[in-house]
Amino acid sequence: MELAQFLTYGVINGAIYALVAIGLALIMGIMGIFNIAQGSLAMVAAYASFFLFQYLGIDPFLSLVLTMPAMFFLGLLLHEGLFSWMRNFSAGQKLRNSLLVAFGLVLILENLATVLWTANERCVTTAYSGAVLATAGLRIPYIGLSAVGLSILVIFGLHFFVKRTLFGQSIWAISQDHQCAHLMGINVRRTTLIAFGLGVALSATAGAVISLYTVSPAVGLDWTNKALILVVLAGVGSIQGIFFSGLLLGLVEVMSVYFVGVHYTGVAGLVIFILVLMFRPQGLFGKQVGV
Amino acid sequence: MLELSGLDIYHGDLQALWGVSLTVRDREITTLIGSNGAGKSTTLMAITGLLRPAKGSILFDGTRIDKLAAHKIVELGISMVPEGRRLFPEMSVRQNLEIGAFIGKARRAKYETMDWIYEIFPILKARAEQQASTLSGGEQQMLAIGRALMSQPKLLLVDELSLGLAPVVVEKISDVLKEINKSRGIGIFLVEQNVQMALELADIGYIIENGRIVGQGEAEALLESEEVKEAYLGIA
Repeated sequence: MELAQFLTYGVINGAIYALVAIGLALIMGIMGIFNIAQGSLAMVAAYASFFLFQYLGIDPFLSLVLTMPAMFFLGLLLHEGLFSWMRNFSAGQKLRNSLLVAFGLVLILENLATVLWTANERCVTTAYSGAVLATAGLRIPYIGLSAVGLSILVIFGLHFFVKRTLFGQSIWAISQDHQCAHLMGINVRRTTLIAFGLGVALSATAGAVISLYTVSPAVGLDWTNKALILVVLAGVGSIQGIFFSGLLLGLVEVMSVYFVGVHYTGVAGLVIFILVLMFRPQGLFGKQVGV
Repeated sequence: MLELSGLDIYHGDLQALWGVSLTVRDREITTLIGSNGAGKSTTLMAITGLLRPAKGSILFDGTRIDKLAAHKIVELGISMVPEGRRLFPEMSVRQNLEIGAFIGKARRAKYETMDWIYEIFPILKARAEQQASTLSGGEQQMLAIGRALMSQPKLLLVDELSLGLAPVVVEKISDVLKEINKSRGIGIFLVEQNVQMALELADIGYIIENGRIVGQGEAEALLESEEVKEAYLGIA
């Protein structure tokens, strides 16, 4: 039974990893921009959730109606200010340049957060924070349950949006061949801008969950690390793959805690990362190799 | 009517087109022939707005389009079948056609247009739910043409129709193009290395060499001319 309890935590962690990774994967898949600041943006959103709870008493899941639009507009600004000038670069050049710019953004956001809000760890403590659902011998925290629910909603909702709506299909077309998308009459510039905003807005969902656990300026890069592993596991261009890769990473990590020990959690994730790169470089769910 | 006048185009520092002027008349099939690297695709890229000319102008039905964004040019009624098909490989045949009708006016008539495409290329209907990447070369070319027609263009640009296709398939597809041109009055601007096929299909032909237009005339006359026979058809 103890193992089952561990696995439950694995699923919860995995769902949160997927929430952080989905925006990164979306932006990467559509425009080839490697936004490694995604975790740091989730950190900023987590602070927003924290302060909205602290001062206005709004539950982090409810305040998504405020934090998501705010992050969306921040995304538009970041795209226009930092990334849009790379749009005519070759794929490799774009990848390298955006990686460097995004890393600069990580440093700026982390230090700004430290100056503004100190390096202390904070968290939102709601009425249901410590509560667990006890069922079939398992104890499932309500926060974790909500995180899994949110993750499923966000990722499968995004999948449906991309495959079934007109705007989503134009995003999908751009991700496959952005030059040819122009020829269909798609306003590629405007669409990629909005898609970037959407990707950053999704970091708010991760932020809401992070605020219920622990938020400090330094957590951004930790979450990005997990997100990067997920993107490699899933392969570029797979939305649902991100969710399943998250579960895989979460489960592998808790298994390593159960069988080996808590100190090797990070190592276990990196081992599957390397194995996938060696034997299936296109990812577990991706279709093509390369960018 | 599409009019290119005095186009100079650069790829970086390299000049690809030198004062290219040509006219594509409504309801006619015009072809631009020339060898690999002569500047044929560059000319098409400029018309679609994917490349900007350094000098010269492009007029379509009296509107200057050489400074318009690529998606605006599609809205004016110019659609392209790109070199190498460039289908959206993850999408099904039907989804590729649907995305072809992305612009507003085409979207409203999407299903009628699609029925028409299925009529001219019945194989696409049979393959409607299949992923585009699983089609044969000829079927892919049909889908690329169908996708371009979904936007209800006045002018269809076709880049290298025959590339990588068996002669019998090329013949079949060029028959369909001729039929589309006749029955619907859609103008066609075909860029080709297969000079024989292009000149047999077209009304008017232009010859491009090293980025310059070096000859033009009625397609039939070009087919008979000694220079063309010698340089492109290998008949001395």
